[in-house]
Amino acid sequence: MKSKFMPSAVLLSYFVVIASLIISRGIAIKLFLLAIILILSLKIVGKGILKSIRSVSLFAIIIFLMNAFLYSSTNPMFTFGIFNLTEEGIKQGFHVSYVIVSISLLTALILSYLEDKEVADGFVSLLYPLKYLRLPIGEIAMIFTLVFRFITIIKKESEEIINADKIRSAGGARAKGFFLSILIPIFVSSFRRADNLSLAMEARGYKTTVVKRASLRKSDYKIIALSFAVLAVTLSWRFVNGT
Amino acid sequence: MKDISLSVKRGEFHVILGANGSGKSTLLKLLSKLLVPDGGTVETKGSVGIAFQNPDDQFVYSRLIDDVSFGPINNGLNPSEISIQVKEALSITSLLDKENRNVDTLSGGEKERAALAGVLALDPDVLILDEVLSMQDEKSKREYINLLLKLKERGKTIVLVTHDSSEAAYADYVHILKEGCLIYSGKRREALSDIKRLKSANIAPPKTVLYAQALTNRGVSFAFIPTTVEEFEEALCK
Amino acid sequence: MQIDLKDLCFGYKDEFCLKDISLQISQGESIAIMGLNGSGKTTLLNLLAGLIKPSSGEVLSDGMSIHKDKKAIREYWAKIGYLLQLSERMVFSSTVKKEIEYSLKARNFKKDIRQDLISKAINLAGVDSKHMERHPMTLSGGELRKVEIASVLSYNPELILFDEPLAGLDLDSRMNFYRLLDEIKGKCSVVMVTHDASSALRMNRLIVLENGRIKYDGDSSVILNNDIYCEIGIEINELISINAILKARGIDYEDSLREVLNEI
Repeated sequence: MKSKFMPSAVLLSYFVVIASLIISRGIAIKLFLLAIILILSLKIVGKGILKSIRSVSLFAIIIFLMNAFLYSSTNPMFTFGIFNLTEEGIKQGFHVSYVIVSISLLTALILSYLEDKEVADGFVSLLYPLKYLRLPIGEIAMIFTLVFRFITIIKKESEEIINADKIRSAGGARAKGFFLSILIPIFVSSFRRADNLSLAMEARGYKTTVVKRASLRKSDYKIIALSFAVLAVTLSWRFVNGT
Repeated sequence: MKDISLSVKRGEFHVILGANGSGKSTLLKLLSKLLVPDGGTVETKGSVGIAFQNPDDQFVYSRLIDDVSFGPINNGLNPSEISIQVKEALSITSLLDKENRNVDTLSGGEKERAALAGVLALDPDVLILDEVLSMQDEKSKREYINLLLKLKERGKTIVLVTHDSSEAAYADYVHILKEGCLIYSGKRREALSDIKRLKSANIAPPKTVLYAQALTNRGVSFAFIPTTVEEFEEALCK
Repeated sequence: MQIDLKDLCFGYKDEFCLKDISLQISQGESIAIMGLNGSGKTTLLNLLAGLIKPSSGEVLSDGMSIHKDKKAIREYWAKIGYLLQLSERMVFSSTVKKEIEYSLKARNFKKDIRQDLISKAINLAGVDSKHMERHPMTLSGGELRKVEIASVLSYNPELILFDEPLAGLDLDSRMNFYRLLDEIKGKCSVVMVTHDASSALRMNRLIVLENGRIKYDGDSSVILNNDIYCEIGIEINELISINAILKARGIDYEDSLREVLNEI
């Protein structure tokens, strides 16, 4: 799927929207932002995207509960041992879990929309000024790109390793899927792959990542402007409600 | 590795045959200038492209067209040149219709061709290939070899390093490696028809050759020992 | 152990990977599974290994479904061995000896018997006894493969599954593998996915898969009969083309062909 927008513009908008999510106060604006993100996600990616935030949502619920019951405050609504249910805790918990879920959803959306090369190029273009500080942004972006590749490969490999071991250990499994026990074989094979890959990259002329500045078009400025507008609305909502 | 001397001329298809441990990987690295020899020299005229055995270890980007453009981009070509080279590389490897696909969704044979496309995008004069056929099934192997022959017609020089003698069936010249030494260097037919020599180097002779030998033992006469199906037809005496 | 596959299907929604697979494997049978890439060979092997569950149909071992409960599948796994392609990196133990011993420990073999079984296994597999105390990762690919084989052989499984065992092997290793096959053939059932006619001929029975269905299930000697072999629909390879040429010239080739396929 080729993006109609320049990756750097998309990424910039992404960060601005994240900022909006973080500074949002009040249920109305939060739901408004989440609604936008959901609509975009379902339209661009489809229902499948909700699956990818399942585990994060679980995590977010735990965070909510922790905040709700363990937030220290002077005026608890309900107490049971060390657990205090407080209004501030609920508010804080809701905010944090909201931020976690919405950022995850937005990130899943961006990663589905952009190809890995576009993410890397976009980052590099955005951070272009940093190049003058001698920071290796090109190399860092390349590392992120290769992480995308390796995640797919490592996932497949771990499945194979676990399967092979299921039979050898007659179901007792040294590699029950526990992170640590398959770590060594994965580690070794990742090293080998990285070695092979760097050789192949070198053979194709890679010396250092090319860093170019992005040229933005009208449509790109539009979405950047849109995201800043969202930020402005969020900020003003906050002022209006005195928070 | 000792006393290796070989020369490959432009437009020729050479195969270096060697079992595991014969030194073929070392020789390949020396040929592609990834390793420096302790003695002697390696001279290459023209640009060299290398493709390795495992395509998964060669892809940089997930989308095929992005990955193929990695080479040209890193060599400072301008966008229109990049586009031309990429399209050309995808076209010759018959992957144009898959240019927007994720490389992980390609079949084994398609992946090997995709890895080669990434190398071809730089339009190298010489192609050095390391065991690129060993993970493919019969059908993909044939398609890949046809691709190599097509590239040879376009003037590319090809060096394929492998342990499988049947992959040398369409080569011009074959070099046999045994324990770091070249025990034979010459035309394909002579190289592949000496069954004893191949076996001594721990290489399984091509089935075509063994077949011709078995038939000869049973009274069928051949004008010469064939290494391909076409040669078989030709070699059978009337 | 008798294995029954009854009306197996495996796949998602409209895309079935395997359909209507029914077959029986009796103790001691040796079976080659051939077919184009994508015909479902590896899926069938994984179903036989109990690593995946069929979408419909059953996998029975001595009449009982292997997926009945956790106990059933564990008992099944205890009796089988699976040698994957390119499985060299998948080792966990710190020494070769421990790696081989692990499968025995997992099957509750007593300590005094284990040493004996290990010695027999490393002999059969050709593992160099000098490697026993070394870390598996320090061995070459070929050596590690032998260790894998020894691990599988040590507990005398009733069924061994091979996935393209000859891929990438040089002449000596091929010959060693054939020797190994000869040794184990009577003792356990063997199912081997391959696209090599020589190895298929060494199995008694041949199953050919096409688009997820069984196209042929019968004697492997059919490989020597060019007409039938062509009909079965396996990819036309050079031998088939050559056989056609020989037949056209009225040359009798079956003996020569058998000799070639038996040689390597």
